[in-house]
Amino acid sequence: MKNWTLLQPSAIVGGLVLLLIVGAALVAGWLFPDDPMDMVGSPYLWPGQDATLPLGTDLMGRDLLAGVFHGARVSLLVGLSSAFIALLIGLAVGAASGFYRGRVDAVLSRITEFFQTVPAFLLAIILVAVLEPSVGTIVFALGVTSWTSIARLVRAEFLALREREFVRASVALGASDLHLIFRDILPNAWTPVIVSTALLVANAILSEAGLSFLGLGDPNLVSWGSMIGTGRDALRTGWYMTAIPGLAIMLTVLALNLLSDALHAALNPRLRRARGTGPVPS
Amino acid sequence: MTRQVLARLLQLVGVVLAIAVLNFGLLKLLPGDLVDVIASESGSVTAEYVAQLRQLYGLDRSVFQQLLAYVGQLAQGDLGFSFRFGEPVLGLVLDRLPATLALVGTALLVSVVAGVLLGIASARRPHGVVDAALSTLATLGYSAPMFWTALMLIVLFGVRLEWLPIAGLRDISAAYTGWRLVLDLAAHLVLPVLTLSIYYVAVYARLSRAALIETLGEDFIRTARAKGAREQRVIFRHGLRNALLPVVTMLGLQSSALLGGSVVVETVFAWPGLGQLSFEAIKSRDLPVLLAVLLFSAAFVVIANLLVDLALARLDPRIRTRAVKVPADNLSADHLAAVAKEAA
Repeated sequence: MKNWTLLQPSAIVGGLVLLLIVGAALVAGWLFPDDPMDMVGSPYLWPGQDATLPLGTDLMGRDLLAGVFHGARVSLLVGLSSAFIALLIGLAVGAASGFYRGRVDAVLSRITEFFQTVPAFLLAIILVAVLEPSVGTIVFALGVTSWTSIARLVRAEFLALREREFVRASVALGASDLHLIFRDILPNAWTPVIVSTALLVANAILSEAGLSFLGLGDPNLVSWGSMIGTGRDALRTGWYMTAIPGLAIMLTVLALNLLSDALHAALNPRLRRARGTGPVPS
Repeated sequence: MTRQVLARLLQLVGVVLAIAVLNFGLLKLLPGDLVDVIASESGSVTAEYVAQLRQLYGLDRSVFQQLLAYVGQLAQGDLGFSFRFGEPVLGLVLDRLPATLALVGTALLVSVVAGVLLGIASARRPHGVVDAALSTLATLGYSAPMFWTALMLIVLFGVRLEWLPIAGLRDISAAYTGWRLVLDLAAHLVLPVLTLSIYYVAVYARLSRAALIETLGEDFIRTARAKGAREQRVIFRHGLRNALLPVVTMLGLQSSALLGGSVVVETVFAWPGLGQLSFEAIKSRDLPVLLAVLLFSAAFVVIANLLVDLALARLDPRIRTRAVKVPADNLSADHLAAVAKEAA
């Protein structure tokens, strides 16, 4: 593996932006100890009008900078946790499918196909609406609707790796299924999964913003999506209220996309052999 | 080919049944049942009356029997009653369906045509200026949340420049007819379609670029060039036909995401389709409406995939004659994305 390929400009930019956002999330409680939903100044202050409120205030006089910092927490928390859930489900389904093949694979593949057919965002909306919006239900809804890409990826890796000599050697030595799955195959299937996980986090952040925008966010927390939803009411007079949190989302997702691209490029030689451009075994 | 069509139709039945079961489960998850609602609305009711109502609505039967009854109702086109709109759900959904199909269909068409053209432009000189500019724009395009792009477009084209209408299907105050009406509809369609396309053009541009670069490296392209075919002909006649296969496959896979995206876009532009209907249903927690939208969307995705199968068979004779098993189903989104990235 050529590690230097990770040091390309896109990876550095993506990594730095992401570090900044993680930093913002970490120091939010310390820099802005007050509730970001509190009124701190007169409403409709444009960015730069008041030196103590550099990004201005929204139509209820809330500090936009405090909102952006606190919103980073929600976005990262929801993005990482729901990606983690999706990763767990996807790994379990994909590994079982690709390892056991046959009937297990047939059933699990039908289930995966079903979840690919149902519009994920719509299903997430319904789940959150039924379970009542909170960070927990949002994480759950986004997690259980976004695991299919990981499952298909892991399944394809398992199908290919299962036939490799080192796995057969292990079988000949009498290794148990669990040993084969966790010690032999899984460690070799990680790389493409990591690349997709970065995209998974990016998509979860976009979906969380969408849910909050539609009024299905956690009502007790300020998130970037809910800030845009509030700012929308003042779109004509104060479009900065919408533009600022949107830029925060865009930067975060962009950073994750750049990082995923860079990871992909760095791990490319292995990926090309494993997945290639040929058909994925059925 | 008929076997493939039959398989898809079977899948349609399976998906609809699975969604029926899922919907039923979600309805059961809600606290309280129909009788509780009626009882709370009418104020004072006796225990006997409640029991009578439960019997009337079949709520005293086993869960499995209730599920069967629910599926039976669906089969007869009874999708339930919306208390928010005071109408049967089926009529509501069918009323809103055309607007969504028009929006999603136009957006798909624009994204694919623009995406493929941009992909060709990039593939002619990989890593050239055009390619670099397009790939930067593409990355930006799918990093922005769709509803935010929509709002920014409204600020720019609706509020500042006042070029385009920003809400609704058509100008209700002006009673246009004929061509004026068509023009008015088209003007209202521009911003919602642009919003969806900004996101999806990127997908198709990346994909067709990668596929075309790969195809242009094949032997038959060298043969065509050796015969002295002109560059235009090599690209459009020989290369594109093969490069279109993954693009068409992606169309089917993306149809599901596109419907999800149209929920937020329709909400922002007050576009009277299924997405806006869902938004109104979310606000009043009108579950039957949401579940019906889910059912129709999934059916739409299966039908879109059937059309994709048919299109692939036309584009690629190998699928038609079944001489080679071309793994169309296995061109999964992630695999396609990997192909796209590998060539990038």
